[in-house]
Amino acid sequence: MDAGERSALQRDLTALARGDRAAFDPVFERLWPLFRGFAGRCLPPADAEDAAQEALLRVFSRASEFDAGRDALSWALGVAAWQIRTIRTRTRRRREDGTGALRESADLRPSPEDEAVGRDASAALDRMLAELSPADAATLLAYARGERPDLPAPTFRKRVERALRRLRSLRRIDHERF
Amino acid sequence: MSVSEMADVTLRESARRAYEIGRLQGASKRGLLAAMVATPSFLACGQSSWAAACLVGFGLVVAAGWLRGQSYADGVRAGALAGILPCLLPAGLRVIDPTLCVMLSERGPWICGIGGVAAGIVLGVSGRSRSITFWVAAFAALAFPASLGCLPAGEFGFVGLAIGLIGGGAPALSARRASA
Repeated sequence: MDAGERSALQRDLTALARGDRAAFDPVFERLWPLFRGFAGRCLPPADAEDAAQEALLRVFSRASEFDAGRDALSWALGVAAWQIRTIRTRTRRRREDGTGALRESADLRPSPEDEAVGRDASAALDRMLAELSPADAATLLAYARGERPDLPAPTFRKRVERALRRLRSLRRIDHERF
Repeated sequence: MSVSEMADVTLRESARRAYEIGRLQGASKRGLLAAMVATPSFLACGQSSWAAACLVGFGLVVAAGWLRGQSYADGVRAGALAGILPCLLPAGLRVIDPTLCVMLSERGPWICGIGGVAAGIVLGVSGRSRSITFWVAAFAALAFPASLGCLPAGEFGFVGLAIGLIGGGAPALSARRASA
């Protein structure tokens, strides 16, 4: 926006603040493209249009409060920036809530297919653990529960690695069997 | 008309509505504030139905003037400012001495006259705009609070107010015109 347009906005917004309805259209024509561009630079396209519209409505609802001693462009952009910030926060919260709800619903309601797969996997794991030596099975169960027996860490890690290797080989055999 | 043009028209209408609603809210606040400022006079110097009508009328005139804007808003602002003294002077005297207000009113419309002079000076000085709408709004906004203050003094109170208003306003206005 060049200096001429800026001073025209100052004049028109001052007139609108005084109740001159004839100044409405010029202010609208100047602010709408400005807000669209401003919101477009700060937000993704899906949110930018909404943010620009809300900012424009906010500016017009508060136009009567505009103090002619202030810079009109800075005032309008300040209102728009606040609105963009509000929409950003709202979008972020919505996204967080959506992800949380999705995760929650996935945790709470597994599909029948997932249940069947889970049952099969659990049964296969039980079979394989039964085929492992009791020491390997105990090591893997402790590892899965996040427990550590009274052993030095490198020793326990080595035992886990060995037990996993044996489990993998059993799994291969199990797959070959079917 | 294309979809984008229709969206633009809808947005423009919404923006216009937002502006008018914002203006109405501002007008309501100012009207309420004006009525609150004049309330002590209503409580102190006569709680009649006429006084109540003046109080409500004052709030409505201020709100309407602000809602309309431009010279109406300027006129209402000047009139309300000018009306404060004739409105609150009798109430102030009653607070100082409950008999003073009645005594002065009985002995002549002095309080209203003094209030009228003050109102005339304020109107004469602040009469920047000379449009008829300014003066209509200014006198409407002045009449209600000034009447509220002068009701206890009766007809003579209003005569005193009018004489004071002319006496205070005419020199201020002519001095302003001469300097302009």
